[in-house]
Amino acid sequence: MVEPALIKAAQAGDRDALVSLLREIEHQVYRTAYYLLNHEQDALDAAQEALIRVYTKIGSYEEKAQFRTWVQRIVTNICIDKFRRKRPSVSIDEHELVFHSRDDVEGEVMLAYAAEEIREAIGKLPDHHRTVVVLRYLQDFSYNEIAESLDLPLNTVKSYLYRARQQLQVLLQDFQKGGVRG
Amino acid sequence: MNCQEVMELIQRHVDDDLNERETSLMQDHVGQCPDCKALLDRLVRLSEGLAQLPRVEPPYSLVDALLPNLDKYEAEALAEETATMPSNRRRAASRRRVWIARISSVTAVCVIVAIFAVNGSIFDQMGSRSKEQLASKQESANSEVFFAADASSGSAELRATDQFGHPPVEGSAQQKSPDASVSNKEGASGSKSNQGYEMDTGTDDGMGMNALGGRSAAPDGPSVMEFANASGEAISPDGAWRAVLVEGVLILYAAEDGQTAFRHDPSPGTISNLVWREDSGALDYTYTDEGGRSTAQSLLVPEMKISMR
Repeated sequence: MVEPALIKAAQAGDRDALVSLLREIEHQVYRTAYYLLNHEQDALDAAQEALIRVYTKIGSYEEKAQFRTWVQRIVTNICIDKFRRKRPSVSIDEHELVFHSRDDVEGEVMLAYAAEEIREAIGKLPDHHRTVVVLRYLQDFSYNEIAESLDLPLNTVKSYLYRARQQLQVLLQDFQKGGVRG
Repeated sequence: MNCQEVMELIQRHVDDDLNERETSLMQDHVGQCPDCKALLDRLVRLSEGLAQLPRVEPPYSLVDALLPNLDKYEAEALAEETATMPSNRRRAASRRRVWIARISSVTAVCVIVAIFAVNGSIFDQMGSRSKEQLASKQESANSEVFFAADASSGSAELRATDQFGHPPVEGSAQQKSPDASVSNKEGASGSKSNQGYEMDTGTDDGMGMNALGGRSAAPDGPSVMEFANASGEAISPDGAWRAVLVEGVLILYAAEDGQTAFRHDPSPGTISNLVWREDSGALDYTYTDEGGRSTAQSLLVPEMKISMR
């Protein structure tokens, strides 16, 4: 949790405070970018751009919103806008996946999903569903914080999250069966 | 409970969003429905997997990488923000700036009116008075533009100067021609003329004339007159219209009442080179699109239509 005093000092023009602020949020910014874009270099670029934007727009942050939801809004916007243009989204059907094939495990105890598989599956989700999942699980945002960050109604947030999880579990079932179903 | 309804309960359960009653409803159904049981298991497992995703960190410090260039980014961001401001914000910003420009042009007119209203013998007194006022003004903004009233052989002339009485540097406001100001006079009189600029006219001890400070209301903006004039402004030959370019947005005012007659926001392209036709039937200008290609266009008046040339 970032100290309100640090934010105020940064807004008042204390450059050192502003740099300290950036250091405090650096990881959370990168983390979101990484899971949204599924690509390390893109994530580094997006995270840097987000930090610059926080730096230059610190004056526009208003206390009525939580600082971290404001920061996450900036990084999610950058990721959705800029990089969707750069990298066309790959539809679920077209993407070719190589996974270790597993035996059909119907009736047996299912193994936990591998992080790698989950990450890939998240990358298959539509932008807004993906963003909700990342904020929920990588940033531990509540429904309300997600709603504030993405400027969405609460019900929409829930419905995106449920839909996303439903899609993810279907995708992961397919992965575990050794490939993407057409 | 049917499976459809239970699906929602299961999702909410994963978020600890169920009360006791709802939880037992769900458990009851799931106890009897293998499909829903399987779904519950998968979703719980998924949620755990999601919660355990690695908290990745950047391979190097992003802030360290940014530090050498932070000032440069700030300047770039400011430039970009102005160019790409969404049209409603830009409209509000340009509206505010145009409003300020109008106030200052009105005030400029008041000065001229005041000058004409006073006897020639007072001009010298007025001239030196305003220079005194100029010298005593302590303005921090280095882009301030002042108008020093200069009397020479009975004709009043407004000269744009900075706070030291020097002519403004290149790029800042150019003085409107007296003709143009006169045509504004008709439109200006009676409209907002008392926005913090005090004009004393007709007092016996001479003109309480203020050197005009071209001050923008927004603390971050450059001198107001720079906006009104350096961006581009053109009065139609018949004096009926005043075309103003503010940050690439073309606005046409009726000179008579100052009403906005037409507004064209060509973003992301820009407009430049305003030139009125002699018959005042059209305003020619250059439209440059975001790729840098320029075309000649015209605004037909009074139809208020844009046509290509």
